[in-house]
Amino acid sequence: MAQEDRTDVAAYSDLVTARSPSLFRTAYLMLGDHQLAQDLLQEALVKTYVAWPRLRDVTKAEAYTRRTIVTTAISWRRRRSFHERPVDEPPDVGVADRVDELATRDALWAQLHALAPRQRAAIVLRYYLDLSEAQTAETMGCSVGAVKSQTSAGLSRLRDRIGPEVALFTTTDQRMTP
Amino acid sequence: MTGMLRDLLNERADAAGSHDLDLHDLISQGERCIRRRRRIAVGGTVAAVVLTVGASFALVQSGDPESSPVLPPSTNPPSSVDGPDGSRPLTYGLGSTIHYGDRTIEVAEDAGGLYVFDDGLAILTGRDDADRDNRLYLMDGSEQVEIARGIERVTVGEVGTLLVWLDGDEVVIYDTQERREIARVPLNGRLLNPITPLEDAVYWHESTGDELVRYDVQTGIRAPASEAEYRAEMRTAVRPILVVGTADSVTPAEDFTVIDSRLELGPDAPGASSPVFVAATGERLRVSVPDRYEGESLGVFQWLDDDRFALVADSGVKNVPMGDLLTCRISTGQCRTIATGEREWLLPGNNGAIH
Repeated sequence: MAQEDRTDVAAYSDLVTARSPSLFRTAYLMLGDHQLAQDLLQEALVKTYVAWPRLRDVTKAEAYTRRTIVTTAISWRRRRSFHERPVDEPPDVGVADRVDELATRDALWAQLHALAPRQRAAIVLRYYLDLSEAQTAETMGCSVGAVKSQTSAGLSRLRDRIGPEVALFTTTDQRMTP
Repeated sequence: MTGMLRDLLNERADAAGSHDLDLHDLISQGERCIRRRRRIAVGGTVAAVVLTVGASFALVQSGDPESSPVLPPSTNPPSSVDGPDGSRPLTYGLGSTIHYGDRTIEVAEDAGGLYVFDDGLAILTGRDDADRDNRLYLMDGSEQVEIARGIERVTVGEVGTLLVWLDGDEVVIYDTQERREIARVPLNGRLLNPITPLEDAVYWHESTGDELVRYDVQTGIRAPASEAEYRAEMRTAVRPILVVGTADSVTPAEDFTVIDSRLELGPDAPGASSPVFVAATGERLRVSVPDRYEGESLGVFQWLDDDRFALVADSGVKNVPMGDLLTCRISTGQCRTIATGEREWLLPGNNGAIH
């Protein structure tokens, strides 16, 4: 039992050391705030520690932690409305050829974080982590259909807010967008 | 300006900077979570167990009356227990106030641990169970007695009547029914793992020889045990009430999320997205939760009997207090709030008990 515990702690330590930078980046994209992302990562890693003895396959611990980050972030933001920073009115970005790219990116970043948490999660998982729809569904704990609809709704809102003139995707990307 | 969204995500992620995590702090928090959520299971049929909470708690101290940390109970106890006697009463504390069924117990200093057994309650005073000035009080409804001080690793059995702790280098086994120490067993080395009391045996793990020890309470025989023997005896003794996946599963369901006003398995719980069954009936768990908890994480902190359990809204986030407390009844499929607010609740549990 003790041997098992020590092995588990060592494996958990390895996970934290090796994968927390990557996990932190995901948390940051989910929340857009450095301190909150750190809190979220911490919470997810604590939950992972609690669940560790019951995880059936410890090699999947990173995926478990990432899933916890996503699902916790979704429920967390619902609970902690004071952290929400909605952008009700889109910044006056105009058309792409009238603003510089940096301003447009700032606006897109702001609008990304004005999305509903599930929409943002779907977009981060699909277009940052490059997860498939099935993997995204597994990570979010929902159906593939829900991933499609959340992604589509999120992208649609971004396009509405930023303007149809701004290309969100490359040609290659567009083939995989809803 | 192609690929803007993907570029933006990568750019912002790269610019997120570094994080500051303390591994030992993570492990420490994890241990705290485990302690907080450790259920006090009422194994087997408990309906016949009648709790004999007296009209008031007489104050009977074994030590100096001047030094007693316990004051008379409040005259306005909350009616926080739904349902009849015949179970372990809902128990929780806040600061120096302990709610035990429909009783309120005022403690002169903050309590550090609550341990509920079939016919009473033990309260540990002090910051935590490693506080060398702590004291352990036993309350059985008619009186309270200091039974130990300066101890650690207090653990109550999920079944049976045993309360155990570590006193220096001795494992102390106390029978709450007989109200006496029934054994003091010296450790051969350092205690590596929590002590686990079952009905007729106590398990612990020692550093010397990396040995798992089983102490038989009936015979007084201490002997090495295998992990398989330990797990087999655990499975026999402790029966989960809500289980994950199938009705005959042995995986307990303890961490939930409120989805569409219903209690569903939490997304980070083992077997997430799997159905939850009531082990006794084989039926799917169908429990409604008030709308205001939509999306909340709720963890079981106490099983009251085969039909009722208590939940705490718990973010698990460092320095963020726990939220409301609720009780749920499986047979009616309803939950109700029994205490509100984000507070530093003290919930019953076993310090360090990880099975």
